[in-house]
Amino acid sequence: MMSGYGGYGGYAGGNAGGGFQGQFGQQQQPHHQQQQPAGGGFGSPSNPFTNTTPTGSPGARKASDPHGGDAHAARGSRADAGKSEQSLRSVTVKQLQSATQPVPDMPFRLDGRDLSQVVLVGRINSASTQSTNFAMTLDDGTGTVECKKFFGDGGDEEEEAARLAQFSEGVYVRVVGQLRAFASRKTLVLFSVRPVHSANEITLHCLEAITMHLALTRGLPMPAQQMQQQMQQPQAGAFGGFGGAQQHMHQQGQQQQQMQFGAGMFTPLQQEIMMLVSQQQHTVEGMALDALAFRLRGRAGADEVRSTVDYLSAEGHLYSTIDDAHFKATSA
Amino acid sequence: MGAEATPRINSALLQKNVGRPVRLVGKVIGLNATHAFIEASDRGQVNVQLTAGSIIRQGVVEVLGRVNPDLSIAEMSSFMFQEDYDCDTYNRMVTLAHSQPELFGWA
Repeated sequence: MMSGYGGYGGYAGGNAGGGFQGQFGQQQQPHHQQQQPAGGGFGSPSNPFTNTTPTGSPGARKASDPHGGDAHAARGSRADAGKSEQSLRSVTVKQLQSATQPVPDMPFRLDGRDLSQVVLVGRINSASTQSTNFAMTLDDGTGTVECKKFFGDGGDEEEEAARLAQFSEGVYVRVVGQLRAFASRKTLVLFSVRPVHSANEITLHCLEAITMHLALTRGLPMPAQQMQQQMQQPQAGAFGGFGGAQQHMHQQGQQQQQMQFGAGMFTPLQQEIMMLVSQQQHTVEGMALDALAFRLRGRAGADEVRSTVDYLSAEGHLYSTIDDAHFKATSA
Repeated sequence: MGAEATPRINSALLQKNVGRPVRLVGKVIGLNATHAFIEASDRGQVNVQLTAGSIIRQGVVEVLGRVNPDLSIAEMSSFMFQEDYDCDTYNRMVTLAHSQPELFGWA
């Protein structure tokens, strides 16, 4: 993945501004990253991820981009390293306190995923401006964390310092930054700070933090699966009865909206199933359900495997091949 | 890192948090020289003893303060929000947050 861990000003581009995009996009096409990161980092043209010309025409890419092959390789290797995605996660200070850093200088981990950028909302307990950075202590009711915003080297330090002067003790702010450890103390290196004007932001942020935490640790609820179990017996016919389950899904209406929301996020079991099935992509018939259940014995019962596979099919991640006991993944 | 957690509360949670510093968000419905009367997110009323130099005025406020045995709050510091807020959703968030000790640490 793009190494955002050297140097203070540089962060790894990506969707720091966006909502949940970063979390779902396992493959983020380089051409979306039009924005150049503020303050140092990746302006250099040698960065393989910004080398690719906009993907209008593959021909253009081949012709004008001698590094096309490299970009492919780079994208490929980044897809493999897909565990460390560029995500923006809403968290609380308490969660930061419990985040672990298994390997020094590697990203912190929380709820089984790497932490890249995080968002917090809290009040400033104290703030000070030094020559190279603006430092503050953020308190969100769950704990306090030191934050530092380093001034860019664009010669606009005075402007920036003036803008940051509004952030004094007691002010409510929303910060985006990356967790670092400096001399065994956790510090948040900030990408952005902005004032909070409405208590609704607190509500939203706390709910986001809860949602993300639960989605990562428990997975999102499966209404289609529950509908199925209520409607019919779990047999070979269960997959055929999928049309019925889908009708129920449409009737869910608003609830379905909520389910779509998390379509890209897999629980550990779902992830493992996807991985195992993907290993059979080269065959005609794909992965057999029995074989899948066998591989997962001890971790999940046959019924749970069946219902998870059904859910993944309903969501469009798997499809059946020669019969309803064989599956392949929809995305390679 | 560290420092005491300051739970978000509404009027119903005052009892549980006597003696602790808490954060109360609500609408200012009354104000005099020594006290502010806040309508918490669960529509209950909370009395706040103002600290010297309190900035509380009309509007939506978050009061950081300690809960007295009589369920009033002794203000430590406050922040005035510039806009109105959805108190029902905030209230549901508070209830939910208290059920997630791993994230918030509010008993």
